[in-house]
Amino acid sequence: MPRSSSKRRTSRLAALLLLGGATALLVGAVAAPATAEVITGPCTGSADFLIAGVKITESQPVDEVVEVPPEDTVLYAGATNTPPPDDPIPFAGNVVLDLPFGQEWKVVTWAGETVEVEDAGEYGYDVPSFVPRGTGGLLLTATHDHGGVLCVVEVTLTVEGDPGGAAMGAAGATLVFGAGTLAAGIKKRGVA
Amino acid sequence: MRGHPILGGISGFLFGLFLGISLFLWGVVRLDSEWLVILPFVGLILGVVMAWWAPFGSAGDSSAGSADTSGDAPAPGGGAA
Repeated sequence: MPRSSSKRRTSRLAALLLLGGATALLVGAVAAPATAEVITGPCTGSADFLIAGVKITESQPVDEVVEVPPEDTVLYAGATNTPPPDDPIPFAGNVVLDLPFGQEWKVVTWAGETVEVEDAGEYGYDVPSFVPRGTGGLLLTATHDHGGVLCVVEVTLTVEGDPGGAAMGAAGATLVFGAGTLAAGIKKRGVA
Repeated sequence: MRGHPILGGISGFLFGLFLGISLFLWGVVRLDSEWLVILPFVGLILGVVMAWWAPFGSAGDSSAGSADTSGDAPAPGGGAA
């Protein structure tokens, strides 16, 4: 067997191993856990998902992904931990789920005036179809402004379900462009 | 550069982009992961490196290689004649 043919074969194998190895290393690196919880303000609160049997509190680490069903009822409770005001003060808040490509789903909003500094109740939700299922963590941000006292809590969650056709399409496109990247390593005609 | 740098750059970028999207959709990384931004550029660099290295021979090269091989080997037909 000629030495140049053997060298070329070794070189090809090395290129395949490089691309495969780089992909495996990147997948391993990106799967590493993220940083700790994020919370702003004096508030405390909890959300108890009845069907899922999951309870989230304000101290839930943001690097832990909580899996929730696409439809459930939540028992919520919250307190600002501030002295009760003598006169009603304005309050406003919302819960927003960040989605891919800069989109978001506003789960619920609230506003009004009150002398209360805590609240509890029940809220039923139904995740719309445009929210992807079975993905990596999506950031859920709950914000509450209580007469100038601002509380923000971030929780990472994923909606139960099958990733679906979009995930298959993305995997296929990864393979196609991976092959294109390898094809870039084919020598131009006439180049030694 | 012996390979195809434009093909490598574009394919590498899209390879990294779709790898990131796949990792998110299959539940490996979070949506706010910085890797979703980094991966396309890592892919771009990988594609350009692949074009610079060019470890695969073109069809023209392989035919030239086989001509060389036949030239090196003894010609049985010629010897018999």
